[in-house]
Amino acid sequence: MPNQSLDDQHHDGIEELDNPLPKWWVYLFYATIIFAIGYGPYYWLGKGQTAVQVLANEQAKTQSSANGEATDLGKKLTAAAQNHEVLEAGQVIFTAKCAACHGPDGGGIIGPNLTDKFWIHGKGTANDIAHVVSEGVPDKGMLAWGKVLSPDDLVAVVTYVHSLADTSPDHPKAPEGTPIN
Amino acid sequence: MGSPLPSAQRETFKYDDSIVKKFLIATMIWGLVALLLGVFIASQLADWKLNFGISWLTFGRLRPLHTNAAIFAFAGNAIFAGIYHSSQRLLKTRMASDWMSKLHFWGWQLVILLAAITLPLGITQGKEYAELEWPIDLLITGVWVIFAVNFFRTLAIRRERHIYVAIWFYIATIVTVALLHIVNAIVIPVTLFQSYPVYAGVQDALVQWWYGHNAVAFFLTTPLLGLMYYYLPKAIKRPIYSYRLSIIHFWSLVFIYIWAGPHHLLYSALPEWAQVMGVVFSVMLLAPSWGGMINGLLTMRGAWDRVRRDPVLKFFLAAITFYGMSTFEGPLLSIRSINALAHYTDWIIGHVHGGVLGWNGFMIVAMAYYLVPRLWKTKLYSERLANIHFWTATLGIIMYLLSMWTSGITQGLMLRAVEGSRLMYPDFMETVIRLIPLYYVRAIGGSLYLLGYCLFLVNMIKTIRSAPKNIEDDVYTATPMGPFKHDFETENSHRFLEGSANIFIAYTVIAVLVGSVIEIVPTLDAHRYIKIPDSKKPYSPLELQGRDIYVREGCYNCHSQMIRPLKAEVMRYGPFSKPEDSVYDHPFQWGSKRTGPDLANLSGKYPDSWHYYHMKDPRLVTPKSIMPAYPWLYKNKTDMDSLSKKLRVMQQLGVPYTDEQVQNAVELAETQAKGIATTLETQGVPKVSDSKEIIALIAYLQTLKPLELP
Ligand code: HEC
Ligand code: HEC
Repeated sequence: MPNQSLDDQHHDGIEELDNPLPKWWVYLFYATIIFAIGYGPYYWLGKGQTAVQVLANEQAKTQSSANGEATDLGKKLTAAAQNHEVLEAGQVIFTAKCAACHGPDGGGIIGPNLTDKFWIHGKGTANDIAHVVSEGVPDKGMLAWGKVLSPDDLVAVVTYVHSLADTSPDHPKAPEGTPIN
Repeated sequence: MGSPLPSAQRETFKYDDSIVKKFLIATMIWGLVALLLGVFIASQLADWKLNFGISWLTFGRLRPLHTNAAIFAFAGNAIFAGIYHSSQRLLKTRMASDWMSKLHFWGWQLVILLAAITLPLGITQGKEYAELEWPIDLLITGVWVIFAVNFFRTLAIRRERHIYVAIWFYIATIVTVALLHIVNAIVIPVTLFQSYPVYAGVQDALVQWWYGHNAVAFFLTTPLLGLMYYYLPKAIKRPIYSYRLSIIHFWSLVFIYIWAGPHHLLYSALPEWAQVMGVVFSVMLLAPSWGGMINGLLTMRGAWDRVRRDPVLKFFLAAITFYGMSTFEGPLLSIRSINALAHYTDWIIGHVHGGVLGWNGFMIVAMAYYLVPRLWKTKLYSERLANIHFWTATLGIIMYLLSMWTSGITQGLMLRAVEGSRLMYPDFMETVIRLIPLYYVRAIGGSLYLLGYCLFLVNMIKTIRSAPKNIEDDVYTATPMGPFKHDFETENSHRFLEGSANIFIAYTVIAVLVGSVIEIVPTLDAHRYIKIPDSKKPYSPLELQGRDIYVREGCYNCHSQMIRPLKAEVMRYGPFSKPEDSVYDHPFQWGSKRTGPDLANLSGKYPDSWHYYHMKDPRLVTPKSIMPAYPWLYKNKTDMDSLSKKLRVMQQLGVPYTDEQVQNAVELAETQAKGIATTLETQGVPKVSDSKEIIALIAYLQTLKPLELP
């Protein structure tokens, strides 16, 4: 095979035109540079707020609105007890979130039996249950569900747990806590 | 062939194509591995059972292997193949040293092999895309130096005075990757398999994302632009659209890119000024990036009929289009309000795959389709198959991107949704459940891309099989470069730079150093402006051990530890994270993705027993969770032998352990472990052994708490 001379070709034969830069591209570049020059000073010296400042303002606002919407848990619980839909919703939540520890029918596994007459916290009234479910017993493995569940869901699951009283689960756990009445 | 010079002055030479073939074949093999791993871990997010309960197949350990394989094995080998092939031709010389080329090749394969062994074993530094432990990092440095020396020596013996734009990009790649890798990899070894980085917390985060972002820039972008400038005009046989544009977009890209790292840390505990730098430089990156896209697309202008017929050109066109898309999306995601929504979500995963599957993957196969028939002196086996590859892969990418955009935006919106004074979706699992169908779509999209890739492999194998026996290398002659003459009257000053490679290299180094120094140096003495309150205690020996388990299992691949100062986030997780929180964190574990919830304020949220059950099988306490189970933590004994050594290293790094603590590390750990075991028993967990790794991990998880500052 004859030797190929490369002396006459440059860049392996690739040619380059020297077209002007597209105008819109140049303006785009300028625009971003102007933005960049403006953004820092706006941010540090002007009206721009740091994330922390924005957050502080927002928190101040929500604080005042939260005070207005105090909910009367007790009333809600009483109303819910009569409501079949709420009970069903409660059962769904119970199966999803509580059954792992309290058993599918509330008979107790890691957590105590919720169907018997023995209670560790309170006396098994809807309000007592609402309190322990909402605040939890973190040291013992029971979450503070008030932070996780919405108020409506909390009411529903508490109502459901309350309705379990005196049912007979398949594998009831031995009683814990003190008997009521 | 009419050269004016007498032929005696001309030199005869051959190109080294065997090294190019080696790198190409390695590319094809590792590409398959990277894609298989990707589809595998994508499926694990759809169905957690797919890790088969085997530690080295879990998501946290395999995701780093997937990313490393895609970046360093697949793209890496392809880049080297292209650089070795095109540089020899552009510089009219064989590589300076054949044995250095070979050493580079085999050294790099060894790095990949070691990565494939160590990462599944959980041997990791816990920093994204820089997971490989220090002995491998040293090996990488050695291999890279060999590559650089070989390349620069080749540059010195070139027979073409003016270096072409592709070479500029290669130069930028070689010097910058060296700088990034070395600075980010400074560690103090504890054992052969473990080390702690010298940086902690904010510092570590900044250095890491300066590295991480520029790995994308200088490993996955600049070299591929170089390849585009060579292979596109060769394949389409048309001139490059604008030399002027090449100059401007090259220098602006190299100068601006290096600053943009902090856009990975917006709203984090990184100082505000550095975040602002990240925003403005990311926005300014748009035009320089698009300069490359325009130069590519306009080079193709006027040949659309051929693009329609020729699969190789189709891949080029799509690759450049995806490049344009990703580089538009990047600046967009750097805008604070958009970042607030998209950060930590799958949108970012979509973004990076647009770049890697679309831009890198397509460029690489385009190059291979062009190169393999030419190197093996034969014809492509089937154009039809290549066309099918193109459409399958494109459909795959579209499914991937659409599912991840949807997933990201859905998750972002759900997690931030607030109604009055409470979160609309306080339960994190609610958002996860919504995303699972999209994870299936993503896995299917990825599989389609993989399928297309297999067709490509078949095509390549058949093509190579059809090669004639005994391929002889072509012989070329050319005149040596001769002394440098520059005509300042008629030639522009950039021609001068192109004629003088050393000055060119020096300018490139300066261009990348400016941004690096200005951003990184001030944070190096961050400890001066971060006042550490007395209440901030270093991790106890057991907690440190637990932290190492957290790093080993790669929990950071799904969990962040950085609560941003955003309303919904503070409502969900608690007080936002501050620089003080992670001052003793070597390495930092802020994370970049929230497949699971943020853990920065985990301490006390759950009792020890909850973690005990959750880590054993998350479904026990969180139905439908997609987090892997970690049963081996209940069998493995906590490693106590290296504890004192670890504390000693931490002490050297400035963590205030007393000598007493270092000496009594094991006793301290054992006492704390007993305490936790007792607590677990009182919480009703049967038969707990205090020597197991789960105890150490629980100890660590229960320390995660933002400091309460006055
Ligand atoms: C991780 C396991 C776990 C889960 C999940 C769990 N609990 Fe509990 N729960 C416990 C434990 C353990 C106790 C006992 C606390 C103690 O000993 O003080 C408990 C106690 C209770 C009590 C008080 C019982 C008594 O005898 O005073 C109620 C009521 C209760 N849980 C309701 C719920 C509801 C409703 C849910 C779902 C929303 C739930 N729990 C989910 C573990 C759990
Ligand atoms: C595949 C992604 C993935 C990996 C890897 C992973 N997690 Fe998770 N994690 C999740 C998801 C999803 C949840 C939410 C559902 C749940 O509670 O299981 C979660 C929840 C958690 C929680 C509860 C957080 C809370 O506030 O409710 C903890 C603690 C946790 N993970 C620890 C870990 C640790 C430790 C590791 C490493 C050993 C790890 N995770 C690895 C996905 C993951």
